[in-house]
Amino acid sequence: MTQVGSRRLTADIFADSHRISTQLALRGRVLSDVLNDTSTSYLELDIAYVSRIDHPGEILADYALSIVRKDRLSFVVIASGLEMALKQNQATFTYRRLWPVFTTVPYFEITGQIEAPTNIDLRALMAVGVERFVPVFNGTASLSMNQAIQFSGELILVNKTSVEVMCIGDKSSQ
Amino acid sequence: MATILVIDDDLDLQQMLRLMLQRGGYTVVTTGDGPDGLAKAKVLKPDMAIVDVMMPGMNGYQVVRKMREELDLRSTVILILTARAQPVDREAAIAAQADDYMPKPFAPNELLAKVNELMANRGMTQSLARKTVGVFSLRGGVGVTSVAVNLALAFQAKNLPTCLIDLKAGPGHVALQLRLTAKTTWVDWANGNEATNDSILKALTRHDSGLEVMAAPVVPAITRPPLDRITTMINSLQGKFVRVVIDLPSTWGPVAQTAIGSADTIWLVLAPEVGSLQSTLGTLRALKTAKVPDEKVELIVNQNMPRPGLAQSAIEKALGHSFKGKLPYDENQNIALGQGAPLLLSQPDSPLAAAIEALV
Repeated sequence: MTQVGSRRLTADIFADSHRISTQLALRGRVLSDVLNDTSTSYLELDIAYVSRIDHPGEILADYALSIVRKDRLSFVVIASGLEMALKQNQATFTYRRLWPVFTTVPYFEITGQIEAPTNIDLRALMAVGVERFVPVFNGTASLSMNQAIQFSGELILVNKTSVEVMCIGDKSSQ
Repeated sequence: MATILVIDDDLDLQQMLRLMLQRGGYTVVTTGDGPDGLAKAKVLKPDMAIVDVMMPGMNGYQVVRKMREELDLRSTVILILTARAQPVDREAAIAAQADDYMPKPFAPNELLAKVNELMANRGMTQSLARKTVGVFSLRGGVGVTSVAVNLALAFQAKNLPTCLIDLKAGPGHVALQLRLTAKTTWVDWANGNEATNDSILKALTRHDSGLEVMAAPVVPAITRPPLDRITTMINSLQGKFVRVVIDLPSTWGPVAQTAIGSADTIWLVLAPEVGSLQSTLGTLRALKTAKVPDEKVELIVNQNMPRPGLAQSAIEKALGHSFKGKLPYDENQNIALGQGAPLLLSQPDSPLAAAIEALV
């Protein structure tokens, strides 16, 4: 079905204490490529709506020009628009599957699914070499100290350098 | 033909909405920023406004709040349309006093169905001015809950869709007086994860009279739910019901103050005795300090004991405030309370029921 209002990618960028809502014109690129691009340490935003994390629905202010340090943001939530956030059907030489994941970053718990080889290697997964952000599908990020505050999306791009704990679990198949 | 004002800084979206809504039979006016939208709304007095949130300068919530401050725009249906699509954003939209919320992206037929539904609801309640009455006393035992229950039933009996909120932290007695078993209380809702209009409506318990009740817990709540949740709940119910009656907590705390801020009128209930008079005097001072307008406060004297108490003139002189009404002693009241059958329903001709009817 045709969807209206989906020309730009809306993303919620989370740092430790703030939520930045923005609408990105990616000019043919996908968001994960932009975030993983090591040629620049910053993400420039055309517009930024700033909220504090304890009142994340309240917009404190908006700014026409903003810049985010990619290494200091914790994660990015994409509620919808997966095709603009991540390249689809990347060819791999290994069998891959979706793994349930629980991970923590400062102040937040994130659950969802990650795509990884059947013989998953968490050390390899967490290596920052090529990709700084790990995609978590159908993810939910909840504030650790107030579980009523939740952010869900088709995709959450989690900054590996912010990850404190990552747990892979699949109890249902054990 | 109904007029819809679209306030969205995305010009493509504006055009699409215009076409879509015009095909649906509406007259559409569009604008790309909040201040201009507000100015147009004041002139046009549209039947509905569709407002984006993420607009530079003045965001959608600010626009909605400003619109609601305008008396002429209070009956305008407001639909928030936003790409900020998280539950907290839905909550923020309701807190800003929007009637509903729709996340972007959306399917055209979904939006049109939502607009048609909201306009149909508006048609039903358009001719009725909405009102919220908070029933209050800092003195226990003066009959606040009984007054609130009978007042709500009196509104409902006049075919005014009414919701009664028992805002006690617990134990609340509204459900008891109406002989209702509530599965969900306002504390359950406020501490829950979902803050949508639907979740609020689902938390209500319906009485046979048609009155909807947001019950209080029987076991007192250990932690106070977030205040913004209370505002969200009241705002949402104010949008859905023509009358909202709030049985306010009997302590001067943040919950009572938040609810008082949302009410149009405060029925300050007192009994004609010295202790109650002293509490009422203190309450009036506290309300004044909290900048609650004097005209918002109406004194109701409830003669809740058989022996005559202080004279009306003495009370009025002591408080510097005249009565809105006096509720007579009614021996049937105790029986009604025990049976869970409020006088307004079980004995509508009784003196107390008749006195409350006369005040509505």
